[in-house]
Amino acid sequence: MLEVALTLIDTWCKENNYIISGYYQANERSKDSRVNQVAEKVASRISDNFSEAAIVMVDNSRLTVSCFEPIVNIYDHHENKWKHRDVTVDSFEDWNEAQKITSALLESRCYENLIDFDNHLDDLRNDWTNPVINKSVLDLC
Amino acid sequence: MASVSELYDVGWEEMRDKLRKWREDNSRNSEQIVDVGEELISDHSSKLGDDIWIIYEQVMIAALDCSRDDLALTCLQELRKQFPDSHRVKRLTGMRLEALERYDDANKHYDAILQEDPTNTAARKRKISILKAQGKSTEAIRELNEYLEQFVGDQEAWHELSELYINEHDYGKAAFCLEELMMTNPHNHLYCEQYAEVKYTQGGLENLELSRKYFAQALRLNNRNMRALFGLYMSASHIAASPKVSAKMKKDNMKYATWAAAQINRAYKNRPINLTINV
Repeated sequence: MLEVALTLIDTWCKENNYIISGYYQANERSKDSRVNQVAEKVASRISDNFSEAAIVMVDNSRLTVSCFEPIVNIYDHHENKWKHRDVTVDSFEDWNEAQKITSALLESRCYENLIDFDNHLDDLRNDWTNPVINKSVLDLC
Repeated sequence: MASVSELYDVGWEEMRDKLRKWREDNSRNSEQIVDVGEELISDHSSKLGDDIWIIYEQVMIAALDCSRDDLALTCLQELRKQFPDSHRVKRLTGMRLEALERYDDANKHYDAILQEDPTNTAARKRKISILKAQGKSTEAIRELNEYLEQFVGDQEAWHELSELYINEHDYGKAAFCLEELMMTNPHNHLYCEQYAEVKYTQGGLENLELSRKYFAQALRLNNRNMRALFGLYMSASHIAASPKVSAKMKKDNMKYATWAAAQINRAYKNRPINLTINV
């Protein structure tokens, strides 16, 4: 179903002038933020179409509602390996904005309405482009 | 902050019924359970009758999910008072220790239950869950296999084992677990579809054909299973595109793929959404 998701999302991207530029993953266990085989496989597929693709792993153990610090690990593709990149506030376009918006979304439990592709496969009416949440993001900007 | 009853304009009976529905559906919407359950317990406990005990259990587990140890402890203490020697309540004590990551204490607790009752499946499954939480997948798999030798009819356990094998990329063994489940539940479309996905992942012409057959079977059992429909399309397409197949097989599989694509397009058209997908 991963293949189905990538194909359909890619089709949508082309129609809407977007590109799949990376893959983020949060592992099941709070102390585990390794890049596992699934993440590597997906990201490699993505980097076939976009050479600067990145893997973003959520560091579960540091996740908080206030999001004061960036809690992601970023990996870039170098010579067939995924290398860790140092993440600072400057790695982001505008960390302060991002932090404020993310924190507001978490406080209002926006994640209860977040739709992923699995939700979409359960019921096609579930829109994985998340227009409602995306509008909230724009409103908070 | 407004109470649940104020926010949603519901009475205590509706809240109680909602909790029951979530129990019956085995929903793990823990934050909602905590919101509704906590209010129900603090404001309406006297009206709940004997339901209160199962509600305490439900809310306690949800509270653990939400790191609400205060609420979990309150519920647990009420249950301990009411059912002082119950193994079911002892299991909840163990779960609280797990939530606090006191795994050694939790294990001692479950071992004590098993001393008194070696057939207590709940305690054994909790011990396996601890191994899973600690990332000890190999041990978890080994213990679960041993468990299934004794309790061969436990479907939840077979399914858990199939997931553990998938996480370890041991698709052959995952397929075996799903075969067990399909044998005992021949009308369950989900097991068929999951088995088909494992076969698809294993790859190779023979597995692709099997995967297509089982996606088709899942669809026969439930014609609204979108994963099965997509799976049928993907597997048939891959077979048709393979250089190793006969002309007849190529033709047949192209027919299946075309049919599946048409069904997919129909499914999207019949749902009022903004996306139009051309497969």
